[in-house]
Amino acid sequence: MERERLILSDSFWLSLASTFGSRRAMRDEAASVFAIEPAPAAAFFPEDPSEVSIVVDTARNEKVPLAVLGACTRIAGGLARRLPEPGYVALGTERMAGVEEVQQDSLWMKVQAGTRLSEAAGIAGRHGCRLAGTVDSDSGTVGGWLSSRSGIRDWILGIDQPPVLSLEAVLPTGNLIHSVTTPRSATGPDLFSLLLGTWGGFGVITRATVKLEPLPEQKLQAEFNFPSTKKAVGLLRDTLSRTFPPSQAMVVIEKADEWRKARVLLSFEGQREVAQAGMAAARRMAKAAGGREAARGRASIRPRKALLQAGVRWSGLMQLLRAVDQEFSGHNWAIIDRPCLTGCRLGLDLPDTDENHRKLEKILDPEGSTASSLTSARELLAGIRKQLDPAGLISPHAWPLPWPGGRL
Amino acid sequence: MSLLEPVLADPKIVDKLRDVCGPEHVSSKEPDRIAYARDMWPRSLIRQRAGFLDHPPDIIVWPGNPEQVAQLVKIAGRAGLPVIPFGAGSGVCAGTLPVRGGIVVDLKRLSTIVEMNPEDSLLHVEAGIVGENLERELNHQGWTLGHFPSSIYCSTVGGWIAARSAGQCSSRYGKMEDLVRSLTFVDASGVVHTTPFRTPGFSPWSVDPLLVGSEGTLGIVVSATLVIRRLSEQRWFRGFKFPSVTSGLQAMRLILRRGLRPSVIRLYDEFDTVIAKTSPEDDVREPLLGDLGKRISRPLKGLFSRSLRRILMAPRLLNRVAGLLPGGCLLVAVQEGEEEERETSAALITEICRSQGAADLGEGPGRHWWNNRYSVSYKQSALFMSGAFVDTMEVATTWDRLMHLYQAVKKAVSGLAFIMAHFSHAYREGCSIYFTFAGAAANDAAAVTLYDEIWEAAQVAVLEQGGTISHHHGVGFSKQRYLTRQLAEANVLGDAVKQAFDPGNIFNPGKLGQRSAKAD
Repeated sequence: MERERLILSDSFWLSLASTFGSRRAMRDEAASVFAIEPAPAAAFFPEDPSEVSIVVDTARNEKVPLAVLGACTRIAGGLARRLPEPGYVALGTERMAGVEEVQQDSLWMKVQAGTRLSEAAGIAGRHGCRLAGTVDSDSGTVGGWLSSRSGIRDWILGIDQPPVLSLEAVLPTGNLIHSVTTPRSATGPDLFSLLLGTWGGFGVITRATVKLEPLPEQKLQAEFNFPSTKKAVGLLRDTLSRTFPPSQAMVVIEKADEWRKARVLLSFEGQREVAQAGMAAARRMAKAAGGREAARGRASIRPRKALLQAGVRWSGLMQLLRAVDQEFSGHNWAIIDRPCLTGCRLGLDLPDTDENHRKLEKILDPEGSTASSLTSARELLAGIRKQLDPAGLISPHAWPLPWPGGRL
Repeated sequence: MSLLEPVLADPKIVDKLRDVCGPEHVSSKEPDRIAYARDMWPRSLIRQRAGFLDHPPDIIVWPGNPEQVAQLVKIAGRAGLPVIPFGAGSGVCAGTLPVRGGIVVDLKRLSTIVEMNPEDSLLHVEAGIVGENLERELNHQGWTLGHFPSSIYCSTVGGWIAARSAGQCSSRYGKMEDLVRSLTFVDASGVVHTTPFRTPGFSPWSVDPLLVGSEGTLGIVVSATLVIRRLSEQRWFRGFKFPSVTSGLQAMRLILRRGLRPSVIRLYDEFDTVIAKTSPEDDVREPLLGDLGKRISRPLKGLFSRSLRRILMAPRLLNRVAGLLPGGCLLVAVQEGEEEERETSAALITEICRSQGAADLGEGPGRHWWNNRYSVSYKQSALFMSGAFVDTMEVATTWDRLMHLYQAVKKAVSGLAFIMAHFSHAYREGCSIYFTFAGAAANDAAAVTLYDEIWEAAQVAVLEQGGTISHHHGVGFSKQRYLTRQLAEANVLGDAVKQAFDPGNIFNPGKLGQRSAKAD
């Protein structure tokens, strides 16, 4: 606490406290507001983007590190795995909350960044829609969800687009920027992509127009048992190249089966005819591949959360599974999910430790080429950041940018 | 037409480039400089018709591998010469025109398919390969990129990446940004980088979205890893006639909303419907602009040419007459995929179209469109030769604003040029509008002034309606002032990106709102 006060000058505190008032500017009470260690030295709760600019400008001028805090779930991803260093100031987004407009026909919702995902989802539901992205934590905020880019769902169609049509944000320079609300454009580099998946490292998202999708008319699910993992994975891949791919697909392999047998869970949803056509094709393909469908009501795959995860191309998956078997011990299952045309995610019930990540990275990238290209890409992004935030004060904990599959 | 001699700070620069790329792959000769002083930007075509060549490069280089690209970038950087990457010159926004001379780097010798990886549905290909050549090779092996811009015969993979282009089947396969999984590029210091491979849904950040669409201003993309798909052998074709644009758009929206993925779904407004022609039997008939070209080549071409120009000089009247045409808008649909899913899609698309009052025209119009899908881009020269001009503008917005945007642009332009439109590249949330406008003036100088007035009116209308100024042609030199307006304070972000990638401003200066040269 002593160190925090040293960093936080009176001029900084006084200039913002007078703007925000006692209910929206906190010093000692800040620790009790956010369930996070280390606690912020102070916290400010802007109500609109112009107030965000004031906080950002003041932090920059006074050289105080600033962290944007949403719900602090760290599930939606606002803080990734990292926490700010002591002595930082928090910009809380909770007062920038609310759904401002829903366009049912165009399938979008204009929402402020501090809005809880549960609230956004609830309002979407009342309009016969849902958020067009995966939501891992209802208590997370829209801002955290987007800044971690955790909600991508279109990958299954081979399209890697975020669940957002436009963004409004405050840059580290204090500039308030906003993009055009459009499904697509060709207006130079996608500058606003810098705000997605960079954990606040390029600015504070204040508002977004997020995509919606209609609530599905029908949901169909089937589980298939395969005598070999290879055939199960083959089915997964084949379903992805169809016109109506599954909305959810996973393969589970268990130690209890000596890592041999595999179970595949496929879900199809959407308009009745679309879901049925997708499922009918999947059943045919599963049967042709030697899969046996589990009797209705006997399906055994339940959602499970893998701790150690890695993205892998299809061509490297079987080799990776064999290597995991040799290099790791103590895990009881492996799950293959988030499939796309080029690869999938492998999850293991192993602790998310540095050592495990290093081992996994060594298997995945023995030549170090991925690590090298990551370093180069990080340097480029760090160069952009330097232009906008030379002292590195906005979301410093986001740097160097994390990459899943490794602590890096 | 003759050009000034190149003004080169270092007279030995040509020799240095020849040492790197070979003497036959470097030129500062006038014919080459003239050839590379143009793309398909209609304004520069009008200027050329009047005898002006505004944007000649000093040197043209044809590197044969990425290392040569890296070396020549180093040489250019030391000499302070601009470097302009060049694909096949089919752009319509002056993206490759050298604003202040410099070195044009034609990448067409980098045309190798480096690796086909069917197991991962991936292709590693060099940037200079012409689209049609790539697609043909993929088709031979049972695969497709699914990217079919109408310029496919004269555009390259690198150009598609640079402009964030869209193919005619984008509703099924996505735009160029969806196909890229990794890029290899040469940076401003002449270093070759490969970006991290993106696993969709799992890779949170990437520099690819900055390079895709950067129009050669951040680096030179020399190769790309792209997603490929299995080639669909069978297609379902259909045409529907709607009572109005509104009902047709409603059908398009519902088709996408219901989770269908047609390869092609495009709606023509009333006049574009007349021009697109719907006759199922008449596959050899071509769009009106092509017909005009044929007529001009006939003996009475002088008379016809004068008549056409005179007609186009009264755009308000022409647009009013077009507005009186009997109603009806053509929607063309094409569906690919496996038999069962294709049939399910066909039934649902037909049902939705009928529910919006459409008449089913059978497969003829769809098949006709498919067979002629690349034609129109190659049939505009006759119109230019008549003394008139034609251009296209592709914008986009969400469904709720689409009709407002369509009407606002038509209103803004109707007093200046004849205008029509079709709606293609549909998404669940919105759609692109592809405007075509044709105009004429008393002489070429007046035509350039008119051309600028049309673009100003049209783009301001787009900005006022909250649409994006470009959906897939890019920005280039022609739209950059509107991009600056669209970005507003986000120009700060654009400047930071440029500064980080290219602090010396050697890559394609004067584009995307950037400074025109280092000295500026």
